Amino acid sequence: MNDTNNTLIRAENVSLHYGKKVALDSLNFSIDKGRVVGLLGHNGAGKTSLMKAMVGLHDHEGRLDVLGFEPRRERVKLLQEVTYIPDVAILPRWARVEQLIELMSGLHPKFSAERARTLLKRTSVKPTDKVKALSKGMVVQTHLALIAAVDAKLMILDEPTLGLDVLSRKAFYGMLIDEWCDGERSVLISTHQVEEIEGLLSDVMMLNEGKLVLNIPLDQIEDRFVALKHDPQAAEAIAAAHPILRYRQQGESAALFDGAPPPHVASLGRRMRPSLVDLFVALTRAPEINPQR
Amino acid sequence: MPTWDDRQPIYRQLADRLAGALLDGDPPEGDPMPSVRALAAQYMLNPLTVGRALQALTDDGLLDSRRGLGLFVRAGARDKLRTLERQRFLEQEWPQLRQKLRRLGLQMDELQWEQA
Amino acid sequence: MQTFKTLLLREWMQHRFGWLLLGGIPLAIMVPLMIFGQIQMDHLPPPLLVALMFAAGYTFFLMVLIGGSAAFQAPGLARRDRQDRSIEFWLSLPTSHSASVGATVVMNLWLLPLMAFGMAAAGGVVSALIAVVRVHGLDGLTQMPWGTLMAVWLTGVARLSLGMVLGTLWLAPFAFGAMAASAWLKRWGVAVLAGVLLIGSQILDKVYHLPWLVTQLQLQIEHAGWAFLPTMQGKQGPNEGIDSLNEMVSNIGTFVAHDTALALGDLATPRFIISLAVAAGCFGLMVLRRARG
Repeated sequence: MNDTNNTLIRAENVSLHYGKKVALDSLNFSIDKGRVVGLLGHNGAGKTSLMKAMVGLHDHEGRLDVLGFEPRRERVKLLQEVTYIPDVAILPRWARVEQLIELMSGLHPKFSAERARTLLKRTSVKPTDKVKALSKGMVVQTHLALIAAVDAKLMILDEPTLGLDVLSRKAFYGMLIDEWCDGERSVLISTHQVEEIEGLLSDVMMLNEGKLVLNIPLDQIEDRFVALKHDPQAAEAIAAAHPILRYRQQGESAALFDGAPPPHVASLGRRMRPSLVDLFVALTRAPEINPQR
Repeated sequence: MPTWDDRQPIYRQLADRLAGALLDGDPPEGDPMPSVRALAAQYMLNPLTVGRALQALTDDGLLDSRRGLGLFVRAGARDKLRTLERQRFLEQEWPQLRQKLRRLGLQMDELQWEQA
Repeated sequence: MQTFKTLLLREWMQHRFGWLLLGGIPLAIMVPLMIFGQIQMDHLPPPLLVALMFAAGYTFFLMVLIGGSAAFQAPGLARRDRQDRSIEFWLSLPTSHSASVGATVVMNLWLLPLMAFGMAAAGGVVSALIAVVRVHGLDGLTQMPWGTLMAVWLTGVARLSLGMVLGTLWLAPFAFGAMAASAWLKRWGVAVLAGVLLIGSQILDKVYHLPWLVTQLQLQIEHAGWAFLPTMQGKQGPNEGIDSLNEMVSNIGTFVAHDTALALGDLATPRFIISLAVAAGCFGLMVLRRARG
């Protein structure tokens, strides 16, 4: 167990198969403490598979080390230090919120009922409410409040804002930032709503068809990727320098390069901040043809 | 959620926004800056990004770091900011704007200077 | 231990209402029925026997209801969390699969039925007292040998409580088998299992002249019956009518002690051990199903 280490998760050649289908293909990465890591990818890219492997719910090949535990074998001990919100709002519908607090107190050694109640006060959910009477957004907020009340070092969230309205999403991110980002804990959050989450992240990992195509801290993106807005006349010269993506933004032509393009090409355009959305489109293959703009 | 444009890094845009607020006297000179967490929650940003923005403002000489107390708005920050903003406007934005005015053929008296 | 107790608490929270109704509704129906209904007795037996007949009658009737209830619910319990989608929530908590399945089984097949039995026993007392007053008037109460009544009733309740625990253990292979089948084969699980066992055993017996399976199934149920009910395992010949009831009452202590010894002794047989092993195997199948996510 690595207590003093800064690395919370370490993956070496992690692969995962569903029968013949390859869900994850030889992933290598590590996640340090105090980071908010976005796991981006289209549906079926392998995000959920990776997260399930991390919490011991799925077999995998290769070495996966989460908080010093081997997830499959030490699942129970691992889950005492990691909190996990799976895909959809799945709190038991028969229960009252107060009952869930009582159950979590008995099941999670690091759960604080008081903290849960305090966090719930930020929402419009009352402890006496029954889960089945709550809207989807309120269920997710309740779940997050319960999870954030666990003194865990790592929070793994699998598309937690799926299907939520804007207000609920804002409230969710707000609670996440306020209650969790203290520099010691880390969050791994998967989503395909890239725009929204860009500001929250400190690092990004992009999965495409099971492969890790990008793993980079956000503040290094501008060092590596170059986005140029250019006039239409320059299009040919730009294309000749092999950008990874060409697109239009606000009526202007733009191109994205991995690594600096040759200076004579760079001078043809105005340098922009490469957005995460553009990187996402460039590096991953969408199931549908048209990228979102 | 506030949107960030594509021209500058997000931390720089936040720094500019906070500087804009400082110019308006929010917070006033000598007062503490809002905490990193408060700003992170307000702007929906990672606290690390907020930290970078505040560091940039400190580097520009607009904020003071007082040990154990946090960041405070330096005396004279507004004047300094105004000077910086004026300089930036005159050197960067105004030439572009002037070019556009010329391209459109707009004359000075058409600019409605007196209004608002 | 704390975890297991909390898991039991979860079962209690989720299912107590149904079981309380099962114990309470018959009582609510029985009391007015007995107070205002017709009670015809031919021989006017003494108050003690009236009391015991009604107490036993009510209690045995409830025991059938309880048994039927537990049996009916068991397969559904195996799929309960999957059906309301909360399984993902429970899987995200640091509880072992065996503890989770174990708590479900212990609570719903033993503890809750025992609680309902307790209510049935109490209801039996209520029905006995009302009957005595209806048949003999208030004199019946003054003539009642309360000491004997209490002794017989307590002895009976003790033996039947033990019977519920042991009898369910004998039926465990069937119950766990049905649950495992339901967990793996879903809706058709129980039907398939019943089909295989019943039809299969009949075919083996009638067509291939291999009565082994039929015999084993029959014997298992017979031993369960002996565990549930103090019938001296049929060794004293068939008991019927009030005469043997008289015998039982006057010798209740020795009778029950003897029968209990037989029932407990029956546990130390290869048959019981093997049936436990089968039950354990089915339990393992349920745990496996849960572990596969």
